[in-house]
Amino acid sequence: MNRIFFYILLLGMFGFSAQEVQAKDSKHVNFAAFQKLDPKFEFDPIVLGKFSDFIAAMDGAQVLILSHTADSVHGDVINIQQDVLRQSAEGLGDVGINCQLSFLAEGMGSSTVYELGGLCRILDVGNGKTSKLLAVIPMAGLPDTTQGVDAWVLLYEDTVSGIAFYANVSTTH
Amino acid sequence: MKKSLLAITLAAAFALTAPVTSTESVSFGYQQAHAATDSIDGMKRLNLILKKLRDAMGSMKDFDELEKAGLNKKDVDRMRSAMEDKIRQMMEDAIYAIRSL
Repeated sequence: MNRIFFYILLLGMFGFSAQEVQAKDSKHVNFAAFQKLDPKFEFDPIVLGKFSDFIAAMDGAQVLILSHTADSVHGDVINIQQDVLRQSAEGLGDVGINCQLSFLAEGMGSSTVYELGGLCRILDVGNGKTSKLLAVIPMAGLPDTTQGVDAWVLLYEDTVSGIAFYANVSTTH
Repeated sequence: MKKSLLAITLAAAFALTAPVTSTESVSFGYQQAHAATDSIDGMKRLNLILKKLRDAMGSMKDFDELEKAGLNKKDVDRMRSAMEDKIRQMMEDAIYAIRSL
């Protein structure tokens, strides 16, 4: 009986410390979507620099979404939804972006690798438009600003709509 | 997904046939107009919820594309499960909106 109690106690302590490690290892996932305005503008695969440099580098595109998901841990499913439902004569229109993203953090400490991937639906329905684009974003490694890499990585670009998704991870100090 | 559709249809039918508490007070003028506006707002809200619900249900098949794109099945299943929870929540919202009409 004593042995069972000891194992339960041990498991409880392990569970607590695992939670503590997970909380410590949480990261803020930053996600941004842009749409090209200037046909000559090209999205860079990696944009180096601080946030202000990143926004400045997008001078030929408009911001569609800027999202900051605080304290994300391995296995989180991040839902990002920013669309407008609008009543019109032909029914309910829907314009915007809907994303379901899977966030993975594998490894330990400074050697942790962060990945993000998933689905985004780019909707432009209503006022005679019926565009529903599905963007499948394969898992991609994310730069960690706290590991000394101030960068945003291009996750996906749709050449038809001119929409691109960028992401990175950060930590609050 | 057919089961989910059946479930929401049954839930909606139940919500519409279930007894609704009513007040004894007589409503004229402003109260009637107010009730009519509430009803229209309720219908609009319900339409929005149902639209989102339909889209969410239709999007379940999109997760197959993720597996084809090389994502780990375990990760895709977790995303499916998250979406199913979201759909369940929206169904509850829809039932609440129907009962509030």
